[in-house]
Formats: sequence, C-alpha cells, structure tokens
Amino acid sequence: MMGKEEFRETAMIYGADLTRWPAGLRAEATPLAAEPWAVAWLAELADLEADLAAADVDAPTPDRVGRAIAGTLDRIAARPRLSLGRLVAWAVAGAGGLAASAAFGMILALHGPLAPPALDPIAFVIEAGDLALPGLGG
Amino acid sequence: MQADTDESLLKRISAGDQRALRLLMDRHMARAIRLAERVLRDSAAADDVAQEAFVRVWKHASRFDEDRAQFTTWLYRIVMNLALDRARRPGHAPLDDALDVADSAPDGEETLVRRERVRLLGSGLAALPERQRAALTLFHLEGLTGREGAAAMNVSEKSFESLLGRGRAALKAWVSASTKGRTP
Repeated sequence: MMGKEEFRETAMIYGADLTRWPAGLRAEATPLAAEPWAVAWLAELADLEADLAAADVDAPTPDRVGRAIAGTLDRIAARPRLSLGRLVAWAVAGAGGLAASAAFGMILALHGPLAPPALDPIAFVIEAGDLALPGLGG
Repeated sequence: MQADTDESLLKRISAGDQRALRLLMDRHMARAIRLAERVLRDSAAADDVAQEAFVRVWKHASRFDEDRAQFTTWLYRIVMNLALDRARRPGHAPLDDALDVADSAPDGEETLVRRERVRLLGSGLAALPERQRAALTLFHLEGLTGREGAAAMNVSEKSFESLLGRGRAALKAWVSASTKGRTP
C-alpha cells in the first residue's frame, strides 16, 4: 500500500500526470490521488510542468534545418568514411609499397649501395686515376 | 506507395546512399537540433551537435541493429552523448536569456507573474546539472517513458528516475527561493 510520502516521492519523479506513471505505481496511487493533500501536491507539480513547457526552446525554422542538413553533407564530404573498397585500395597500395621496399632491400643486400658513380667523387677520382696511370707511366 | 521506414533508409545509408541520408535528415534533423538545444540551451552549439550526430549516423549506420532498438532511440542516444560531452567542456555556459519569449497577450498582473515564473524556471533549468536537465527534457519535453529515457541516456531506469526526481526538486526549490528572494 502506497503511503503519503511514497506518493509525493513518486510524483517528484514521474510528475503530475498519473497516466505517465508506471502501471504498477499508478494502480497503487490512484486511490490516494483524490485526497486533498494529493490534489494540492499534483496541482503544484502541474504548474511547474506548465512553466517548464512554456520555457521550452522554439522549434528550429525550416531555414535553420536546411542549413544543418547542408552542413552535415559538407562534413561528410570532407571526412569520407572507411569503406571496404577504400580499405582494399589502401591495403593494395600498402602491400605494393611493402613489396617494392622488400625488393629494394634485396637488391641492396646483393649488390651493395646503388648510388650512381657520378655522385661519389672519391670513387670517380680513383676510377679515373686507374684509367690514366698506365698511359702516364708508359 | 509506402514510404521507406527509418530502418530501411539506414540499410541504404550503410551501403553509401547519400540520398537515403538526406531523407532521414529531412525527417529527423529538426528533432535532433531541438533536443540538443534543450540540453545545451545554446543554439549554435545545438546546430553543431545535430550535424555531428548525423555524421555519426552516416559513418556507423552498419552498426545499427533494428532488432534491438528503433532508429529514434539510437538517434536520441547519439545526440544526448554529444550534447552532454559538449556541456562538460570547459567554457560551455547554457544561455537562459533565450527564454524571454514575446507574448502578445495583454500585460495583466497574472500574465506578468506567469512570465516571471517562466523566466525563473528558464534560469533554473540553465543552472541545473546537465544530466538532470537532460532527464527532464527527455521525459517532459520529448515525452519519452522512463525506460526510453534511460536508454537514450545509457543509464539504468533507477538512475534515470533519480535524475528526474532530483532535477524536479531542484527546479521547484529554485523557483521557490527566487520568488521569495524577490518578494518583500
């Protein structure tokens, strides 16, 4: 059996409209709702709820809604989501890059640095010297 | 011809159909903006939250499970998460001056008293902790049940009830204290 205090506490949660109370609590509360103290308590809460509704923000205008929709589409265009196709493309690109890196590494391992001779002045000088010496000495 | 349901639009969205997203936004953007503004009491922040909510819908449509929830419940939860995150950011301050709504009725004493009560209530709402304001918004202004409101806030029904009760008590106390403070 619901007492006065529980009625007031429940009304503070679910408000002045008993039809919005959970069914079980409503069934217990209904016999009390006609008591003068309950009528006064519910009326006070009903006033508060009416003021709450009156203090509500306005519904957005159609223009504002339209701007928000356009803004959302802009954001989506700027930040494309991950799709399977995009992931596959990234994976293929990544795998291609890895394969190229691996092949390059193997070439380095087998043949040493691949820097062009022209970029290595010391090697170039020695090579030139080697070629010239026999003639000078002959 | 039968209109597409929200859930069937979501299936198309998860396949990358932007026209379906556009249709879904035509149906629900106004609701998302208003819900965010009710929690944030700031129209620019509300617009930003609502747009971000639909970006999330676009990105995560494939995660939606229509056997577990309606689209609107999912949307409520996304908007509510984003709005509460925004409300917790340093520097966010709800505005209560947006509540001075013009009234064309004659300014009788009763009208003035009512308008003052509504103004006080608006200030009280703005001063409430954001989760209590969110619970009151979902239950009283959006008309959700306790269970739906709890789902939208991702809390238990007991926690939702507690937020509702504390929020209403705080508002009542605020209006009462403010009225007494202004009455000689």
